[in-house]
Amino acid sequence: MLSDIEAVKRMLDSGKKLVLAGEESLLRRVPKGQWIGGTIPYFMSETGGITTRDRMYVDEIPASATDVRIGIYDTSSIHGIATATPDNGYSILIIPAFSPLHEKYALEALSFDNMFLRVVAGWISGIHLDDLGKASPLVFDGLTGQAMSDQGVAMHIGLPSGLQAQLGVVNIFEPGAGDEIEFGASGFSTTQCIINGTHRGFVDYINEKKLDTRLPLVANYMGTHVNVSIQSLDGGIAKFYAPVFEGVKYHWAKPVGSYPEHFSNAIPAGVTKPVFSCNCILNYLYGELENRKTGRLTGPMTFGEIGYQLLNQTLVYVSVANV
Amino acid sequence: MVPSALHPTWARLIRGEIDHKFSVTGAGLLFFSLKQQFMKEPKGLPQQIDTARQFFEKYESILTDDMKKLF
Repeated sequence: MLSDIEAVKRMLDSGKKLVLAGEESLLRRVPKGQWIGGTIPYFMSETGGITTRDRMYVDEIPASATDVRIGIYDTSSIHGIATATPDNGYSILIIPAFSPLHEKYALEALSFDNMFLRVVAGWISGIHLDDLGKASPLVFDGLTGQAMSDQGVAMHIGLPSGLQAQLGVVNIFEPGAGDEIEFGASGFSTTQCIINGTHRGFVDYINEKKLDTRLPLVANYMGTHVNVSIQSLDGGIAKFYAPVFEGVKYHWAKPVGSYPEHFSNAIPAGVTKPVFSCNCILNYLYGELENRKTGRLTGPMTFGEIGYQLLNQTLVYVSVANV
Repeated sequence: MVPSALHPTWARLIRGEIDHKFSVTGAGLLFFSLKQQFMKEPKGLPQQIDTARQFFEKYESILTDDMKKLF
């Protein structure tokens, strides 16, 4: 839920453990305690999409949690993020956008030890788009109050037996029926691609086909659709918000009509009150979600989503189920 | 009950020989990752199968439909 600074202080005073999302100036005013945070001013609230510099989004750690720890990660330690996650529990990881850690996580997360045997979710912190070039995305360790632009912060949460954390992804995009697109190297940018087996310039291909770059490339990972969003096309170079991977077959996404309607319909019926959810700033912008609701899941609209790996234009949630 | 590591479906899934669409997000990502690992290091197949089995044991309750189709 969205809360002002005084409400956040009261929650911390009452012993609650929190994951916060909000503007840097707000997060700097939060007292030291059991919280982590990341910068972002865009949210999906109970009343619809909202941009605010005055309130923070608050996820409370379930009172049933048996163990809550905060960990700081850099490029040399991030490979241990899943191993540090309780076997029965979950982690919320926040990484600053544009940092070397963001790039490393995007490229290597799937190969980290124990990655799929633990639940690792989270998001990429960002800034107000008006502040591009003037401010840096940050994450906060509430225990020390330290703000970091080059390290990630995680809250590791243990759950009692009988409860299980489950990670879910809602992707409203599907691969279109057009060309099969591959890339000769993994990375956040490219000049070349392979279209139906033939090498050619990727930007030329996009321009020739008049493709809508608000739609992502979509790969099918055995039933899980994974998006890669286009950041820019400039001077023959295409930049992405998440890396493309060598050897993976992509298709341009089918056009989407109403984003709110698609999200509402795609959220599984049994998911009512997840302990965490986030969605993508690109969905907020391209889907014109300001003042519009996307169903019952709320949270920050981020510069990237973490559902095991880095995701784009996707809603990620963690629910706690009885087992 | 999760089949033993000797069941041939595990290896076929990891080698990409079965075109299955998992109903659980993590399973799709896991097998994509395992296939990538297998292509780099085929000798690691037993370890990759072990990882897949651990995932199925942990999330058996939400993978029952997939298990019925696969095994």
